[in-house]
Amino acid sequence: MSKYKININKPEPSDEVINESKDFGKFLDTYSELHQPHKVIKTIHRNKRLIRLAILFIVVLLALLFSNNYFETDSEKIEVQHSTKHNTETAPK
Amino acid sequence: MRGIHQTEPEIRQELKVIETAKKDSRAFGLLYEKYYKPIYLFVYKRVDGKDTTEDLTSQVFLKAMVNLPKYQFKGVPFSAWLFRIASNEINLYFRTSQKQRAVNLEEGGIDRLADGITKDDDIDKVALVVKCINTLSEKDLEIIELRFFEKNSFKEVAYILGIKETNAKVRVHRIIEKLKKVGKGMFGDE
Repeated sequence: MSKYKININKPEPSDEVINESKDFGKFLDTYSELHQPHKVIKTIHRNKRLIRLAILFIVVLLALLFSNNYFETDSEKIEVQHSTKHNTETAPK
Repeated sequence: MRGIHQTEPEIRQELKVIETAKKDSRAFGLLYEKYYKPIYLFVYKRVDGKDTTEDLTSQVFLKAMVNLPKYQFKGVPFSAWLFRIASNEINLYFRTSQKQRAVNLEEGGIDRLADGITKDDDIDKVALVVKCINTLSEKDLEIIELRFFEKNSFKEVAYILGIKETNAKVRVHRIIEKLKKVGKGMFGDE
């Protein structure tokens, strides 16, 4: 089987045939329809790369939040321990 | 494609239309009217089927309109920019659809390519060119189509394929050398 479909002297379509699909009004409608915000969101949903990036971003954000919380809670614990130790030391016997 | 030859004033006039179309999409209509047929034919020669040709042509103009603000004149006609978009759209279509790529060989192009491959006038040029075309990769086929069958200058070929002019010349030379070997194998050309 040949690699390509080879046409020799394939006749050119007539102007009438070409003009059947030439419609600038319709073209502009399609263009404006595709450029409405909700359509853009639709295409974003279809874009796998963007979805992967968004997931990665969320994971990184969550990781950052958790690590901050962890440090905060640790420092809080240390502070609490400090203050209780201090309180027991200074409390009158 | 050679049919779209433009003089200096015509290019300048067209650049004004492009600048207007960047701000007002209705002005794009002039470019759409002017280039619809050449783009349609460019696609038609490479794909099979009226519907596919129409869809891809319309896709080319949509992409062109979306990317028009980024367009900058680089010494080649606006049509070359459109052909570049068309070429990318066609490649994308064949990558995703797994359909067989079509090639349209016209007499003039067959003669030009066959003359580049062999000096022997007694051979069956059509058979030679068909055999040679089938040995080419899609990338090589594209460059041969643009140069020999659509009579583009090296500058235009380079722009459409997004490569440098010298690179286009080197690639054409290498492909022809490769095809000469195919020709020799086929006819035992001395």
